[in-house]
Amino acid sequence: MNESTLAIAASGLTKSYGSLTAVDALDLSVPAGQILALLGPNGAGKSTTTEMILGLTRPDAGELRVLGAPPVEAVRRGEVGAMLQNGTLLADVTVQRLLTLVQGMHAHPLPLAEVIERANVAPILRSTTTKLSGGEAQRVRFALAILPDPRLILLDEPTVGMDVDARRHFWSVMGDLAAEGRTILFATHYLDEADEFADRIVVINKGRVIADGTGTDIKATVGGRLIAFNGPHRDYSTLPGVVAAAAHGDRFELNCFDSDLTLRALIGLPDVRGIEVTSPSLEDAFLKLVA
Amino acid sequence: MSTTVIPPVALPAPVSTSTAPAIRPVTTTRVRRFLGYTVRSYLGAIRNVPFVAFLIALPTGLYLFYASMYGNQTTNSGVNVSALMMVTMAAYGGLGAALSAGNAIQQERGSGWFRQLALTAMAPLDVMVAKVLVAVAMMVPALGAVFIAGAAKGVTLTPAEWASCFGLLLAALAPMVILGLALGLWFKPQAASAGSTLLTLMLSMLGGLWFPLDMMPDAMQTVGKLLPSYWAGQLGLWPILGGGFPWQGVGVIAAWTVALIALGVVGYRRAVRSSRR
Repeated sequence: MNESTLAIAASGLTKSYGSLTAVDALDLSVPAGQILALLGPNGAGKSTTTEMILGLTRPDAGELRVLGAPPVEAVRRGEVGAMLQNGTLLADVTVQRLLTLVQGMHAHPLPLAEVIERANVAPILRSTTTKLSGGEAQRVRFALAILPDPRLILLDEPTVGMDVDARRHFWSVMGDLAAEGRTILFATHYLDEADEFADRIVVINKGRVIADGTGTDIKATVGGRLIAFNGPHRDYSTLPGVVAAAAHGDRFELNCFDSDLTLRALIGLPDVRGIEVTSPSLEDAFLKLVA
Repeated sequence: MSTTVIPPVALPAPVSTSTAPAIRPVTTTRVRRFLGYTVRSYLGAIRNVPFVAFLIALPTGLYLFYASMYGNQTTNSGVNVSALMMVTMAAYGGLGAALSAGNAIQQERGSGWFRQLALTAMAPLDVMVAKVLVAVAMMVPALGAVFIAGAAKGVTLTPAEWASCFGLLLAALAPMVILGLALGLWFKPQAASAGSTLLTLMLSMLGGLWFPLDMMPDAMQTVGKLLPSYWAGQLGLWPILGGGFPWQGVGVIAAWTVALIALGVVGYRRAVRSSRR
């Protein structure tokens, strides 16, 4: 594929901090217009990867092109917008002044009215940045991300601190942005969020890609839900929707990619009691992936 | 499970394989971005009323206090003491403003906000230059307030004298912004704030901005003449006192500037190394 048609083209990307290799020979190709989730536990290298794509961190080795240009050049041309994780906002100014200040620094910014509407910051324009709630601050960061009218949007754990409604609104706006042909890459450690909103999930751990596919592909590997119950000994791994089964005495644990399907089958079985459905933590899922 | 790695999904075929992404027209220019950022940053800083009041209150208050006590005296050469005090107290005020504003640059940089600014069309160096200009301009209200207090106390100078006193003080004290910035790079925020206040007081006292240097013992006079604060005062007084232009002061201030830039660069490298990111 021609490099210039890719939003992100990375090969052999490596970054170490002292003895810690944060990103280890990472390869990643993201075609324009894709919504991609970068999924991984804390310390997997998500933030470092994001920072290299943004030109904030220089890779030790490897090739990296963003929309066909070196990262810093793409950023200067206003092609890239980002919500940084816990990104600090300028202190002691109103949201309105903050947005006006940054708008004047971009190459071809979106009109402020459009940014205000899309990021839903109209009610907090007169608030001082230091007095915003976590969710409100995230909306301001989101406004900053779309301000340059970017073709690539990077979001580092974007919905942290948002309530359910805010999350839903956020992803619906993201869907609109993607529909306009913008490429969206978001880092998360929630499998559900990645599965629900991304076209493609790239799972990284210890700085390397360990799985790459659709949400269904990934869930089939790591399992979506965990069903635990007491019951007679038999082979439960043949039940529909099950990835793997494990026994702990009388208690069984099924790792499922479709827990609804599994539950229906399970409830029909005799002497099955004490059913419990939980979502495994991503850390647990990773133990499976890297085992 | 034996295999855990799923092969990459087939990527959609590119719409076109030859055309590079169109470079969209840039609607702003580098100069407009720079000026816009500088002016908006300055307006933001000047709207911080407690900060500005803090920079103005002490030098103006001290000037009014001393001018009421000694202001109606004249020197042997017939110069009004309230005019001399106005210049040296303004130098003290400007010094404090330059150090605090320089220190504030590092606090803003250290907060992580500059990372967001690095995602704009403005290069980090342009942002830094704009910030230093803003810090220099923060001396204007501090100098101006003391000058206005001087005029109220009956200081009469020609327009050229007012302007050259003001301009020389501004230029002579501008490198002190770098001292404030370096302080912020070397110390944690609270220590840096306290340090900039302490340095302002020490440089003012030892540099003869509160009491004339020739009232002090010889040893202190020797130390004072190595300080940029003393020479900022002398340069500011030159339009009133006359005599030979204090070129020696320009040399001392230039030497300090070079040393402070070096200190800032080393501090910056150290800060970048220790922050990991």
